[in-house]
Amino acid sequence: MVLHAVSSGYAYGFDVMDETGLPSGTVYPALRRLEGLGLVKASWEKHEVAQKDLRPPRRYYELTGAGKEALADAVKRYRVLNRAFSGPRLRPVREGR
Amino acid sequence: MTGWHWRVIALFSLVVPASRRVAWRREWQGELLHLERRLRARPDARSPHWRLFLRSLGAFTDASYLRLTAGVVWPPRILASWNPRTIAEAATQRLACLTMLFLPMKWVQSLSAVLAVHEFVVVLTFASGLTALDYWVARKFFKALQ
Repeated sequence: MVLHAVSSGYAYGFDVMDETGLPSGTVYPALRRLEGLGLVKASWEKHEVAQKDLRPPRRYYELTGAGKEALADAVKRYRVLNRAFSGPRLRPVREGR
Repeated sequence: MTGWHWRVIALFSLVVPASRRVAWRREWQGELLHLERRLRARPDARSPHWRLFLRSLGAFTDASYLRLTAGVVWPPRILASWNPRTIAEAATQRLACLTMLFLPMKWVQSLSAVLAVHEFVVVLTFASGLTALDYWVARKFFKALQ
């Protein structure tokens, strides 16, 4: 979800939270982990842009090549799962019946 | 900068490894200030201070993640033997943390820039009481995390 949000242009941590609906305590560790794995790359916003708004620069995240591949894999996997779960459902076996 | 969220960030920054602390604080401050402005621009925004405070609480998980992945055994005293002395130490640290919450913001920021006392924030998280039970919960939690 986080990778998908970053690839959709939600580059800042708080924007990713708003987009995914995940809390800050989940999104930031996820971003750190993805950064550690080399799937996203973080950079600081240009100082001039921040200065114009009279605020400190924000740190933005973007997908790396490996991140794009990982996202494509995840989307493919999700589609397979989605298909599997959207098919006819098996009746759950209940004990004692 | 006024508001509880700034204090929370300054305090939680104690958990972050010293080498990454400044950048970490800048990132959280940048995001919170951006959100603060956005909320202020919207007159219909409900309880902006509360929302900012809730957002800032997530910084603890982030800081803990950075601390744990830095490979530092943390927090050493809580994982050490459980005896009256360590409990007394933890209680003192909790009191110190709670005191920090009421210090002027400038002092809190300069303290968090200088100190490398990791237990402070661990302790703050479990500041529900200065009891042995509370201490035991903190100890279990960090053992489970590691």
